Amino acid sequence: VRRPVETARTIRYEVRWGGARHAVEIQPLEGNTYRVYIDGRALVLDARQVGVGVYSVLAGPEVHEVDVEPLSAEDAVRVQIGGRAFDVEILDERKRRMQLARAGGAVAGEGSVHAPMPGKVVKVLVQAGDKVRAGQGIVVVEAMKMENELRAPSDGTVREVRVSVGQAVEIRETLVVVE
Amino acid sequence: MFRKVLIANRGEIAVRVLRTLREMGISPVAVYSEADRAALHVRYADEAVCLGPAPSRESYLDIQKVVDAALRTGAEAIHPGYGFLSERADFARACADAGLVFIGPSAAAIDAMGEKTGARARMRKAGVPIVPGSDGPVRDDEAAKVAARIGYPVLVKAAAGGGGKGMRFVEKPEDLGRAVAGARREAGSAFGDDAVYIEKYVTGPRHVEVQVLGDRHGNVVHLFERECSVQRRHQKIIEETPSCALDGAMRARMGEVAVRAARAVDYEGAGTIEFLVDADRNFYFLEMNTRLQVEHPVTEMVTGVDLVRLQVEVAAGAPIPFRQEDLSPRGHAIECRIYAEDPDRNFLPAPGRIRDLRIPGGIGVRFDLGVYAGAEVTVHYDPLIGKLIVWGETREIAIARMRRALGELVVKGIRNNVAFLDRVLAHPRFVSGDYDTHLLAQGGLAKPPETAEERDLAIAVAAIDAWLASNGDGAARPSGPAAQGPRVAGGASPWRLVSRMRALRRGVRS
Repeated sequence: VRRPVETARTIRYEVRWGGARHAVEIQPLEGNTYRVYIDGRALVLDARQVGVGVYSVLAGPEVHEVDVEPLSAEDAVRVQIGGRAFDVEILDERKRRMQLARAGGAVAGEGSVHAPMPGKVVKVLVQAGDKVRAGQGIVVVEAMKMENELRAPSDGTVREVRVSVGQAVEIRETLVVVE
Repeated sequence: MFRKVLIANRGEIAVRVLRTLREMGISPVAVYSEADRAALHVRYADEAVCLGPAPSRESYLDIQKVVDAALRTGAEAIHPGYGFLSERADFARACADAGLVFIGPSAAAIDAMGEKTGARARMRKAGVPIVPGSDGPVRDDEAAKVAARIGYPVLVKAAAGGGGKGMRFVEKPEDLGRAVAGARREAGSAFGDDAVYIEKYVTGPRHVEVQVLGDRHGNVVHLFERECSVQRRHQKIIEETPSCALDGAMRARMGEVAVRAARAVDYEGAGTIEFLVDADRNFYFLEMNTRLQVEHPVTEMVTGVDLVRLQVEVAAGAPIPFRQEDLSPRGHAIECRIYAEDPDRNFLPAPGRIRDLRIPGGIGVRFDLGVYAGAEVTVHYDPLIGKLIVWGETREIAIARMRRALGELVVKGIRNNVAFLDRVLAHPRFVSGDYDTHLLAQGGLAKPPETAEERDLAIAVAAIDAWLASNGDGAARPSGPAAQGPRVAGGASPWRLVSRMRALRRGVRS
C-alpha cells in the first residue's frame, strides 16, 4: 500500500558555510528522493540513509557517499565527502528566527511584530498609539526557556496590541501591529 | 616455544603483536592503564593486567609493574612493541633478572646503540660511513669550534635522542649558542640526559632505513630498505619500499653495511639501521633503532615474512629460517599513518571519541588498527589511530591503490589526516619519486577550496539529515544494519506534528 506523500510540504533551512549564508528548501518527494533548492538552484537527490548519519546519495546516476555528524556547537554539523570534511551550521526556520530575535534583528513584514516561534508573552513594552523607532523592543516572548525581545522592524506608530502578558502565541502570529 | 607472552604496549602495535602470537598458538597477555580498560588490545587478549593510572610514567613506563604483571600471569616472555620501554636497556635487564625473555636485542646492544655518540664511534670503527660531526658530546664552550670545523649548516642533536626531540638546525654561527641551550633543555626533559653533539647538516636528505634481523647463532640478514622521507615535524607519515633513490647496487651496498653495523653489536632480533642519503646518493649511518619499527609492515608486504613471528622465534632461540640469498622483494608497498590530528592547524592532535570508523578492504590492502567505532583517542598517548598499508605490483599501482583505499576510509568524531595523506600521494613530487625530507615543508599541500558541486552536495545532505532528524523521530535514525530498509519520505505524520506542537506549548507554559 502506497502511503500518501507530502509533496506539498516544503521545509526551509539556512545553511551557514564560512561567512556565506545559503537559503535551502527541501521538498520530500517519493521514496528517499528530495528536491532541494539552494539559493534558488534546484537539485534532485536520492539520499538513502545506510547508517547513522551515513548517506548513499544518487544525483542522477552519480553516486556519492556523504557522512554527516553533529559537532559540539549547537546546530553545527560536519559533512564528509570522499575524506574531505566541511563544517557547516544548519538552522531551521524557527531557530533562525530565534537567533534573529535574540540578536535584535528585524522580524518579518509590514512593520508589525510577529512571533518567530511558539512561546509565551512575558512582557509587552508598548501601548497603542506609541511612536516606535526601528529596533526598539516591543514584546518579550519566552520560548525554550529563553526570553527573546522582539523589536520593531521599522519606525512607525503602534496601531494595535493583540496580546497580553501570559498569553501563549503561535509561530508567525501577529503580536503588535505597527504602521 | 613460549606458551604465554605479555605485550608491554598499547594501541595498534599491541594488537599487531597479539595477532601473530595468537596465530602461533601463544596466549597473549595485555597490560593497560586505567584509561585503556576498553581498548582494543585488551578486548582481544586472553588475559589483561591493569598497570595503573593513565599517565605513561605510572603505567606503561613502569618497569616493575610490567615485570610483575608478567610474573603474576605466568608469561615467559615480554614483547615491548615500539616506544615506551622498547629501547630501554634497564627494562631488558629487569626482564632477564626476573627470568623473563625480553623479545629484542641484548641490554648491551641497546646500550651500544642508544647513546648516539658512542654508536657513531662504534660504527666508524666497523667501517660504516657516518655523517661528519663531533666525536662525542660537546661542551658549550667547544661547540662553536666543532661547528666551524665541520662547516655550517649543522644539526645539534641529543646524544640520548631520537624522534626529532632535542634537535636544532643551525645555519649561522651566531645562532649556535641558543640552539645548543635549547637542544640541551629539550633533551634533558625528554630523555633525562642533556648531552648533545653536532653533526653536519646533509642537504636534500632522504631518510632511508634498512631492516635487519639477527639470531643468537651468528646469522644476520637484511630485509631491504624503507623510504621514510615523507615527514612532518621530523615524524614520518608515509613510508614506502623500495626507495626510488636506490638502484640495485646501492641497495646491496646499504644492506651489506647495515648487516655489518648489526654484527658490530652482536645484534639479536629485529632492528633498523637508519641512513641519510644525500642529493649525490652518498649514504651515512644515522642511528640504529633496536626494536620493531612502526613502518615494518611495508617490509612484510614485499618480502612475505611476518617480522613479529621472526622476533618471537629468534627470541626463543631458533635460527633465522632463511638465508640472505633466499630473500627478494616483490612489488611495491606503501604505508600511511592515520593520525587523530588536524593537518589544517599545524597537525594539532585531535583527541576525542571515534563516532564511526569504516575500514577499507579489497585486494592488496591491510589495515593495522588499535581503535574501534566508539573508542576514545585520549590525550595521554600517541594520536596514531592505525596504519593503512597497501601492496601493488608497481609503485604506480600501489599509489593508486592507496588513494582508492583512503577514499573508502571514513573516520568520524575526530579530526584526522586522511584527506591530507591523499593530497601528499597526489603531489607531483611524491608521484615522481624525486622527493626528500623537505617535501611537506615545501607547500602545495594546503586544503584546496571546495568545488561548487561539493558545496551543493554537502549543503543538500546536511539539510536532508536535519530534516530527517527533526521529523522522523527515531525511524529516521537507524541504529544498525537491520534498520536500513527503505523509508517513506515525510516520516512525520500530521498527527505527530500536532503532538510535537502541543508538547512544545506545554513545555513553555510549565
